[in-house]
Amino acid sequence: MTTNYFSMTYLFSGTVLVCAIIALWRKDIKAIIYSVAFHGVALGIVGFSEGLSRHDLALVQAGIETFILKGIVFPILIFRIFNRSGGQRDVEPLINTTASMLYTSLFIGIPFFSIGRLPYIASSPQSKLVPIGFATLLVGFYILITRRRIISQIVGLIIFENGISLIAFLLISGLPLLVELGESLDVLLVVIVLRVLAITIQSRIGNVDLAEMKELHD
Amino acid sequence: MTVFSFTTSLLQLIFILACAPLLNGIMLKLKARAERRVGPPIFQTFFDLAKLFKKERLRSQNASIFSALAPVVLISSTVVVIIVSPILSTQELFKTSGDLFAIVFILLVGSLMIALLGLDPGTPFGGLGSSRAMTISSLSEPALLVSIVAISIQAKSTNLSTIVSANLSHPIWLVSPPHLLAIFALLIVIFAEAGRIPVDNPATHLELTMIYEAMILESSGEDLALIKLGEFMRFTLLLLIVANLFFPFGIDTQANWIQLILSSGISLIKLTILGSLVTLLEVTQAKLRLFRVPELLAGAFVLAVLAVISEFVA
Repeated sequence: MTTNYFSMTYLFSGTVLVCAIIALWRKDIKAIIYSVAFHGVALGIVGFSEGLSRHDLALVQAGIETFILKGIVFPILIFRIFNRSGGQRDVEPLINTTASMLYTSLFIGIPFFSIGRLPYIASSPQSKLVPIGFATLLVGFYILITRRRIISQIVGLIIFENGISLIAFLLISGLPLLVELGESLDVLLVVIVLRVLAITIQSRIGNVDLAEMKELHD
Repeated sequence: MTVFSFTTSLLQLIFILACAPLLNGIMLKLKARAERRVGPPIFQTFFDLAKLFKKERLRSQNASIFSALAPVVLISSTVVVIIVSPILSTQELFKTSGDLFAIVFILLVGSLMIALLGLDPGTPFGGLGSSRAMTISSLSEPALLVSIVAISIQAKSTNLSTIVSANLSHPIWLVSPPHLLAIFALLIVIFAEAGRIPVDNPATHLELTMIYEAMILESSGEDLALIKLGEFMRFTLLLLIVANLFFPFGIDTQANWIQLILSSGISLIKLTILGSLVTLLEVTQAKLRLFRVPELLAGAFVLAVLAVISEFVA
């Protein structure tokens, strides 16, 4: 039974990382948002299955909360920003995608070869998956620093934060629901603030554009 | 080398020789039907090849020996790989001859000769095509090699026959995440290597986009027929290798004559299904811009790296 739960954790931890890589790989913003949604869902399932395997109610709750917040609420919020911003459908990374993908292979490789040597990590099967969390974290941070547009930054932030949650789910036997909820609400707040910011920037730029149009008409 | 393995190799060669133009015909027909056209008959490719064999062969005055050599090397490298790979049966012709790395590099010799053929007559299009093809190849080759490593870890062997037999005895390996990632990476690479639609469109001669067609633009007559045949055979071979890595059921493992005959039929079905899927992709997808192709291949490389690393975790 435990091995079944472990293979579920293994599969969905892998999905978390693959979705993060797809978010970096694709240029189409809609595809990126869908992959972030799937990313959140997979993370929720990891928490849920880990909670079930350790009979830890707090972890199960955290998993369900992650599932709802990161798999459903965040993507809907990002979609709203996307719909309001209109126009541009592709992201413009500062570093081209080919180079990014080659760096990504380093982001995956380095945690796997370095974290196994840390003395503090217990030799449970779950701890073998911790490098996946670190790789997700690095990919999220990379998205955060190489993208200019606000949607991509939110996506980077969410992936970064999900990497931390994944490590927490795997390594610490369950965060208290309150802590997990507080941390997720922090991110929610950031998403909402960024959303307001996006709308403000949008309206400012819109005004500037309109002024130029008037001058052209004159 | 037993009588059985010798017959198997011969049968594989005949099978691919017969099926490669047929598969091309089926795919052309399906594509035409999907676009609401009637399309050519499915045996049209055979007639086209026969016609090319009868036509006069013209070579550029600047052409060196490579123009003569390239079509022959392409065909012979493909034939060597067909003989040693497990397509209908896992019985090997020689001991440990079907090594995946060897197969990749033998196929690469053929690609390299076609690139040289493009440069040989000194026309601008040929050089353009060769440069593009080698750029793509230099990106797809690492992805291919890493995904082979990922596939071979479970079976603890890089021998294709051993991998196929091992996968047959442990069907659960086929759906393990590393294997799926590696197969996905392998599929992307094969589309690049075979010059199919997300990377190259074989049905166009537009100089902005063509890669493979630009290299063989100067060839004619028998040369062109051999190159076309070689290209169809390589595509069929690659599809069959992927089919046997991902879904090896039906292949003969016990040197059983009846199973060998059955295996030919099953391979034909697998080939038709895969060919239809490729056609579906070609009809629904647009060709990628040339500068976006490296992104696709770099993505395949990362997936392959991920597959190797997750093999070590599991």
